[in-house]
Amino acid sequence: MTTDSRGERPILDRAQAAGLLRLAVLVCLTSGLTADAQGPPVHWLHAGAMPPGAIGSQRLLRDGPLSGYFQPVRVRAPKGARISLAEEGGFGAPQPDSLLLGMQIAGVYRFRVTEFGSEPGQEVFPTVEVIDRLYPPAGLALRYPIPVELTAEELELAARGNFVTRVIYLEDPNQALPTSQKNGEQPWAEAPQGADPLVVADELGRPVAILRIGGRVPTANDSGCGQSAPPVIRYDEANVDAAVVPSSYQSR
Amino acid sequence: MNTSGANFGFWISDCGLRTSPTRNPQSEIRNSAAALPVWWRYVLVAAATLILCSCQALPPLPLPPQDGQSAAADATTSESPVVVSDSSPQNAPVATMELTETRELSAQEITPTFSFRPPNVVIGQTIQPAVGDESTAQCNCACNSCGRPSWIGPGDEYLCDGGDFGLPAGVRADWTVDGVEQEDTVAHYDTVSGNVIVTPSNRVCIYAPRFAAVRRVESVAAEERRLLIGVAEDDLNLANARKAQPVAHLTQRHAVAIDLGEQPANLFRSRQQAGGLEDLLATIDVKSTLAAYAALQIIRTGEVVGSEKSKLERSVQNAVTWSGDQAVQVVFENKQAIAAVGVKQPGIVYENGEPSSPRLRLVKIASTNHALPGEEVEFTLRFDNIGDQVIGNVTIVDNLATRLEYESQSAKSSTAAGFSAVPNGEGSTVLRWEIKDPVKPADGGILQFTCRVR
Repeated sequence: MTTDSRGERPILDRAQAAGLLRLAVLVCLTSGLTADAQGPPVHWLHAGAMPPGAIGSQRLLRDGPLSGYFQPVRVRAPKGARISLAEEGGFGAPQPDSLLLGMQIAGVYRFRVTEFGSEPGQEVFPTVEVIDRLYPPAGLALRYPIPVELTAEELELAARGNFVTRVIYLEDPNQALPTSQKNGEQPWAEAPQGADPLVVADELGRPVAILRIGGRVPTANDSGCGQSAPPVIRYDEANVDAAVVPSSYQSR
Repeated sequence: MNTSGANFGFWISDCGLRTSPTRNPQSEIRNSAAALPVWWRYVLVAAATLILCSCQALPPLPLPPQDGQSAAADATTSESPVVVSDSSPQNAPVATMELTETRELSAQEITPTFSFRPPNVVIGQTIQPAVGDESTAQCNCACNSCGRPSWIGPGDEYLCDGGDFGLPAGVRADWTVDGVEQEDTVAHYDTVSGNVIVTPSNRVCIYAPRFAAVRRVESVAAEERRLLIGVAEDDLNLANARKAQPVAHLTQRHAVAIDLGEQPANLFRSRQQAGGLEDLLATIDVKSTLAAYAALQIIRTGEVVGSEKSKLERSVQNAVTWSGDQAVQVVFENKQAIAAVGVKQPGIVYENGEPSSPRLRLVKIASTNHALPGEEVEFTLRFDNIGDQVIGNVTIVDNLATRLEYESQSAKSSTAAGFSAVPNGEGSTVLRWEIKDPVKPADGGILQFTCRVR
């Protein structure tokens, strides 16, 4: 027996305390599915100015079938420009218009864009980081890629020494404006002065990719170049219907 | 020996209260525990509770359905009894396929013309949906309680529409409908006994992701330049205003620009010509052939053919996936109709569970279940009275989602029906069909309209 017979019995003895602890554990476990005190899974602990790849790497630590999935991304260059993807050993052959690629979450994919603007010989090296994926119906992954647009204005800004950060987000259908997209152009907004574009995009929807354009010529040690080039899948535009997107593991 | 108490004593001693490693653990436990004040134990319990509760995993995001048809099926089969019967109208007359452009109704014309309303009309009465409908009416299609554990991904890639959220919908004496917020989908109708029933539809989702971007341009040089320009402008403005005043020249420039922008008067005149309105009111006979997805026997004649079941299943699923279908509800003799989803027949059959009761079958199919912004989707509705009594005042109201844009002049009907497309103030449109004539047994019709995805 563990009853304390020497003195006055405490109001809460060990057995009761242990029982209360078990009860607390049980209550917390059973109420876990409805607990919503932590809010939505947004990126407010991150900043758009973090190094490329950092946000996506932390996103992989969250729940979801993200690791190993190749998210289709369509990178569109302005009319007349040439775009090429950095792979092991250098940049690939420049192509006009757009590239349809399968990118992994947290991978930093570097491109070289040339033949844009009024001055000949200009080239910039933007990077694309996918930080989330889409969940289209089966067989429609390539029909609904993440669109990443390289506008002529932003390429010119980068060529003049500016650094452009463009966070592409999936619009919240409850906040979507009843406006049509003209000529397929992606609507965009300037982040307010002093505001982080990633936080602004988090408030408007779900950020899925980050485009960074700078005027610096990358070296072999920069992310996305040389040995650090992540795996990528090139999809043939002519045979998109027959292509298959590799699926990642199912986490639930 | 109370084992749990002993373990708890170990736990306390491990928290820093152990004094000597050579002592007997059991006696140490008792001593240390006895030395603890009571309030300290309460603090420990509270701290443990707080820590455990703060470590809960995030709740899953709203998830889309894998197939839209199951949403409607759940609304009717979860609790309500499913009544399945072979109700194919074998002797159903062949409906005419001459689709006519439905003319737009004025505000005065919207008053229903169904004539056998008895004097004891109850206006504004709202009857709750059927037992099975309540789950979908109150529940987002993407939530977990809908019973689809196999969903993957959040629901923000889908457009959801349907149901009656916010204020409950109701019908006023002047036949205006209140409480139909954006994305709400309700149906109201009159019963033979004179009641006006408002019933929400199920909530459905479509896959149509749309992307946007937030940009930020960072440059130290640009900020310095802004400050310099601001100072220079102030100085130059003052000096120029006092010395020389070439105002006339500047005024002339501004005037030209304004005149160019404010004189599209010709456009307005042409839009307001009477000829345009006459075109809208004119009846345009469209002897159209149904598209491939709708060229089914059940759409043409209302007759169910077994060989078309696979095609119809796919098209019905498209429709359920695409839009908030107006679940036409029927209440007969003050009894709530039951929506029955049968496994032997397509569509939804509404009945009150009694034999020989009037029933309405509604089949809605769509040309596709997904689309990119800018693409069109055509919807086809086939309704049939497969009961043995006349059904009247059938009204279908569809408040389109924000990103679904109704294509003007695309509504067609095979029967006499009043149609109105009214902006809902949110940028989308409310579509309303009012079947003018009572629908006799074994009779039916076809409705069609087209939307463009924004």
